[in-house]
Amino acid sequence: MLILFLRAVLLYVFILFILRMTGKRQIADLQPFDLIITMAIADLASTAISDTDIPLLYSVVPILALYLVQQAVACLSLRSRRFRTFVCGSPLLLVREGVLQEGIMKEANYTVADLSDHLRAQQVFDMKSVQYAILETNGALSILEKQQTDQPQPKLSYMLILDGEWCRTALKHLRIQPKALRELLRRYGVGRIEDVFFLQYQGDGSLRLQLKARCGAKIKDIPKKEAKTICS
Amino acid sequence: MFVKVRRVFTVGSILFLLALFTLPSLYLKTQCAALRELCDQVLLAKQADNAEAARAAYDSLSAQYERMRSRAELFLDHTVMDQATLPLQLMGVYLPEQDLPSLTAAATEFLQALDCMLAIETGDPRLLL
Repeated sequence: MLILFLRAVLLYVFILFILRMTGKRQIADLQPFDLIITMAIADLASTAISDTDIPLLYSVVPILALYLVQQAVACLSLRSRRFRTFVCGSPLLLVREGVLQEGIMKEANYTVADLSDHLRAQQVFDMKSVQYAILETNGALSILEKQQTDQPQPKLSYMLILDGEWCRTALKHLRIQPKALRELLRRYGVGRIEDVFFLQYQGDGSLRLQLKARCGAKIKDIPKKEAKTICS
Repeated sequence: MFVKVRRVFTVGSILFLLALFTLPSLYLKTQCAALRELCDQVLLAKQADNAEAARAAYDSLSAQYERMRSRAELFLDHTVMDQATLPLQLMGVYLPEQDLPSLTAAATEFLQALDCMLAIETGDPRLLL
């Protein structure tokens, strides 16, 4: 019995260390590949805890293998946006300017009842007060509520450049010509797209830019007036 | 700091796994070869009707196996080890008797169990699926 206890303690410490190394603090942060690994680790550990016929290494080796796979997936996800989209998927816009996107909801197997549940969980009881709702890649729902006053309704922000790569879908959606954007960036002293860490189209029509760390991580705000010139 | 710790841990994990992929299989290979030789000695002595030599070879075989078992249990499923322990004990039972076929059968089973252990540790592709 003491052996069982010690095995459980040993594996607990080991798993805690592994989960800490993977860098996730809470379940809500989990991406699909994180979830698979967490579930598999739990199962592998329970087998070795209770069965003294199995050496601890029979659990330790697969857990280490999963840890290394997870590190490889995380590393590739950081380096390649395509790979990240393949593994984690991409956020889905379920409500756009107050209108439920039926096609996208079908694609995500997401019913109106699911949407209502999630909205209520975030203290939103009235569907008409939702301006935008986004289903994030970790399953959480992000909501942007409508303004109750006469002020203009909030607009969604879009990433135009991420990690030195164009975000073609957002550019297409906002009808922005990459050539015009490149010209605008040049005026702000950015010669190469690869130097841009991110460029975000803000809800108010302005642009926010941050250069990569190797270029000093400088932040530049491009006012709405100038940003408007790049939209066709 | 955390990134450094993670890098060190990742590199350490890779090295640890590489060591586990090579060292236990090397150890088992040498041990199994020695056990196989001792097992052959037991059978040859028994065939030659040399009971004393057969007993001496069997005792060496048992001692060698116990030494290997205590170490191999760290990295091999104990039930796999049991599959070799039982025929080895049966060999000890058949040794004083004039029953060469039963002794040979037990020895064959023992060698097959050793092959099974080796296949697990050397990464036999048949075990992959």
